[in-house]
Amino acid sequence: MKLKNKLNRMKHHMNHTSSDEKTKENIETCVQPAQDQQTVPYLEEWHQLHAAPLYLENQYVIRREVQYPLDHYHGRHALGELFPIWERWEKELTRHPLRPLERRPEDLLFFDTETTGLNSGAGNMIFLLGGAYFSRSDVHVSQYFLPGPEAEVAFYYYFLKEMKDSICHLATFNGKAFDWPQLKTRHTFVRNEVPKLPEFGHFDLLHASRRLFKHDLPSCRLSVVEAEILGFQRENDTPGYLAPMLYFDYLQEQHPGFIEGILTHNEWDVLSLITLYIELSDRVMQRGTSRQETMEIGRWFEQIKEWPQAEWCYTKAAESKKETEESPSYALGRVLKKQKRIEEAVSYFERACREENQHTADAAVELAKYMEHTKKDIEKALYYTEIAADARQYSEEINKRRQRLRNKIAKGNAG
Amino acid sequence: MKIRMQKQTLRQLMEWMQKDPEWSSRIEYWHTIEAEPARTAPFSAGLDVRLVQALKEKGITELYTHQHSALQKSGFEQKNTVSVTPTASGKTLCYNLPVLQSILNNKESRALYLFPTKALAQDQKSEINDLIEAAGEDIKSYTYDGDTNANIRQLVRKAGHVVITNPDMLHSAILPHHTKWVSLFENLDYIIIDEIHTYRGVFGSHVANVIRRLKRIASYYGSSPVFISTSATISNPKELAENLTGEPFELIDNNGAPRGKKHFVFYNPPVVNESLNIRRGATSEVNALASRFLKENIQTIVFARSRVRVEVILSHLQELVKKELGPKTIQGYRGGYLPQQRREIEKGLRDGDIMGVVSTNALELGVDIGQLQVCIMTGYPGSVASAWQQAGRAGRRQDESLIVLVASSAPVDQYMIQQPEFFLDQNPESARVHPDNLIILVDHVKCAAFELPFQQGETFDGTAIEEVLEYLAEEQVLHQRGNKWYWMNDAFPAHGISLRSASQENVVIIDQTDISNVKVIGEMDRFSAMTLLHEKAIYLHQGVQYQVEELDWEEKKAYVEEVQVEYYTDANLAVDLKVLEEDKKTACASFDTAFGDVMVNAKATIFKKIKMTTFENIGSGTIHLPEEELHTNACWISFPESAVQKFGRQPLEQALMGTANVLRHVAPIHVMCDPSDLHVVPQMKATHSEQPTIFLYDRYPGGVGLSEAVYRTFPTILHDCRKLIRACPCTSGCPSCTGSDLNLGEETKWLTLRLIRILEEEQQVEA
Repeated sequence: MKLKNKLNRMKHHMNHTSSDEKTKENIETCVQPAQDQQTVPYLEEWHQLHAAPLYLENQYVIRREVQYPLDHYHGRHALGELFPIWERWEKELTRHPLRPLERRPEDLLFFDTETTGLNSGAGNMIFLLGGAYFSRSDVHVSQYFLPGPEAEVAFYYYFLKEMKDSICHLATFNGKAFDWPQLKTRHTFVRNEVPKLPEFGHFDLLHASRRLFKHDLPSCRLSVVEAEILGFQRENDTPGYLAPMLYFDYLQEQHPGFIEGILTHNEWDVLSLITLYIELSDRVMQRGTSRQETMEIGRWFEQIKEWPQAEWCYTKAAESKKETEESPSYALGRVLKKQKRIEEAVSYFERACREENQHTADAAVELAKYMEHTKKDIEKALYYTEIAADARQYSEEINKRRQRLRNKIAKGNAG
Repeated sequence: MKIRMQKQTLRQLMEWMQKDPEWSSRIEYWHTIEAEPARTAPFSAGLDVRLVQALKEKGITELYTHQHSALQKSGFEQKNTVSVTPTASGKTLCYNLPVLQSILNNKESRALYLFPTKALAQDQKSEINDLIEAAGEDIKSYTYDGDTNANIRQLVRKAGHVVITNPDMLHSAILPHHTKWVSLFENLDYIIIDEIHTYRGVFGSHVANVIRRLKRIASYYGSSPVFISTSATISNPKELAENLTGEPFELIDNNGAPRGKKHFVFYNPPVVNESLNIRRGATSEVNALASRFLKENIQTIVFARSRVRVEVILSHLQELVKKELGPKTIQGYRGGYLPQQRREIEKGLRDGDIMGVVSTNALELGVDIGQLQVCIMTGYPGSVASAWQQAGRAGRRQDESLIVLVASSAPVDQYMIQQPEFFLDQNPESARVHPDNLIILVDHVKCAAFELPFQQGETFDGTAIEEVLEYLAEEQVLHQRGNKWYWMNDAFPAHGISLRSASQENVVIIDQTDISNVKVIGEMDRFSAMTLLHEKAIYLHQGVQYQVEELDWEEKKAYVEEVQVEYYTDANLAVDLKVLEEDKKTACASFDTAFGDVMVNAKATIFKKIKMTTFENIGSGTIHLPEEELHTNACWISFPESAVQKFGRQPLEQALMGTANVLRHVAPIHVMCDPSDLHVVPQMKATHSEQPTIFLYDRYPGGVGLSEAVYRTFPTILHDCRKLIRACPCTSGCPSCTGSDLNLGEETKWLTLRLIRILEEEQQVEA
């Protein structure tokens, strides 16, 4: 034990970010993986949580299953509202990132994971895969829980096999940047022993929430969105950041009591994803519930080049008197220009130019371009450039334009 | 029309240097190295025709012998090779040819290039791309570092045939995310480690562990890459490569690049103060010499040790030769210049638009600046290998060239200049790594476990780590299940571990001279900070003086401000050394040497302000810092009672202090480290044996093999200590040899010599 003594001597030279300093007393007894049903510890406690093991060779994974009727209210919305929302989407003719294409509500998986850390490295494990999906009569929540790091093959095997129909269409909260890449990372380790990861479509509801709510909410964290938008209040919630510690404790003690709170937390997460999808869809389809929101939805349409829809939103926003961050006039001009409706665009740019806000300079530049290239009116172009230069503190681009126009005029006068 | 005077040639100038009485008197030694013709071999028959074509297009019709050997061994025979090559000998072909050959054979083949710095990586990318372009093939090579754009990172990971990066990036960005690099790791045929000699000491020990992790991941994905590395001249390239990678290597040292005749001149500035043995400053001598060459349009490079020194010499030279040459024709080159600026200077030197360059060791590494005729070093650069690298900057292919080493008053410089054979005959230093340093090892075992769980019984590339794994499980960093150890912690271990800093919890040095631009200028380990960063300490950073205004020990922050003072500070460290374990021991008649584990308890007590020119004590103060504890390796010499009786207690004490002081200068040269990395402590009554003892210990926790190397090469080190003292012109000891401590008497110098003679003689008997 010479080395061990040395290690303990040098302890203060090392920097572990160990979760807690107190070392558990009986660590020596290391836990062996289950060989058969008898050895799954605390089986009865698992059953009480509606969970049971699934076996694969000498590994097992715990699957927990809960059902909700469609008329179950999770906050302001009943889960079953997904079906009417779906029908409304089917009547929408324009493209939109939230619009489901040629799929049934049953194809969608509302999906969230819990991990042993927040980083994206190879050693960060997923220990809970939670999903909610619909049948015609119920909502099913299926949670796959990793009973120990050695059981990843069973874990991914059952998850991918049993969810293979709905995993092709995910609705997540930040899943594009976090959950899915992490799933891909961990899947790489067991890829030869479990089904392939499917190609999939993805509604990332964090992205959608940010677009619609960023002006109204202090943050777009799921708990904030739930409280402020979805009318869902969590009671005795185990906060997500505790998940790693609780899981580590579970690994030492094996008692499901340690992660019961995390299972509930995750269950609420996936249910909230359902009502969030309902809420967001409703808002998008009615083109916003406030001037600001209408602007944001317009901008979303503009980004996916749905010009008429964007135009409609901006026009609606322009009719309202309330202040928005971006001038609807300028946005409208921009969208009209994209549709090659130049004269209309110009009239909105002129309006934006008069409004004297942050887009005055942009609108003036647009007008200057129009005067120079379409109207060939250099004097007017210079006039608008001067307005732009006044409106913006300093811009290399505007100064260059101004200089160029001045030279042109000087040359014209000389010639 | 201007009439230009006939310029003197280098040959004429050298004749003048030898004849002029004033100059020639300062030349301690003039060494000539004869020219070497090129030695070449025809292209191997197996070399892909597209590569042959590409080489011919670039005007290469044959390979130098070392390039040929590297291609043969690493390319066709798939053996690991390390090529030792001087500057500008075409070393890049040693690895580019095998790598491209392999990719041309199999489009799936991948290679990973490691360079110590980002700048070198950029250079090499353009070099390999030139060759790829000439071969007309679609081979993708990318750099992957902190500057790589996020949107091309994915492309690099998936499709880069050659990925060029640095060890830090490999450690913190590639290995912990290996699942995103599957196509690289599944097909990794070559790992290139360029400038392998830069991986030594703590940094090298970290890198060796990163390579263990790299091999582990590669093997997980089923590849077993061949290593190709290159090194500057050091004495143990093969050993270093093997220790760094844990693989057997073949040494390629048949350098076939041609070399012109070289003159190596050892120049000592005249003495200005006999009693204190102080010479005229090296800088002014360098200015005079360099301007003499520059005025004759002879391309000259001047090396200086710090950034500030570079700027000082640069401004003088620009002033001195402004009539003859425009100021633009002399440039500085150092870290802190922008990459673009550096590229322009390099190009100017190659094209001959720039006549002179003043540089820090930034130009030591393989950046291509073409041929220069004269190289002047302002002081000994600190190691033989480094000196040869700098010397290599002059006369790179055929021409005759001149290298001048201008000594400063520093003890090491004076020693080198008076013992030129130490430099010329002796092997260059050996570079060492100590991958099993416990603290470094534990750090990387954590990273490795994060990357891939450890199996029961699995070693870390041969090093048994079962106990480390158990320890980490107790610390709740790992979790044992069945026969595997899993990472079970929410941290990302690589982020807490820096390859380049000595110790984990470093003190950050913050420059607050300019309140509007407060910036971090460096960091230092806790242990050294006690004596170098205490409040009121004068801290030297790149040659600039700073005074420490505040040391926040809790937060590990030192706030400094730039000052200009005529003194330095010297802090007293009360050291208590306990020997924990004695691993090796050699007994001689009147003394023992040993090596083992020690615990050092140190407390900074007071500091003195010492005037730079006269070494007078001009003030002092107390330091209020808590005691620090350090577990490390040490070697020591101790004297039993019988020896004390024979030598006399009082004389022995003097000799002990004198010897310790000389060891402080000499030992670091031998083990190739910074003097501050190896502490020397003389004690009249060592705690463990109550005997008079001199300890030399590694300042890095756990030790990095420095004191162990001292233990092994003790006779040679002693021999050099004696030579240093004898060569010193002082009469009774000075700071350049046995020291100037007030407690030392007049006899210290000869007492020290006597002691060392005894040590040497007895060791010879032993041998």
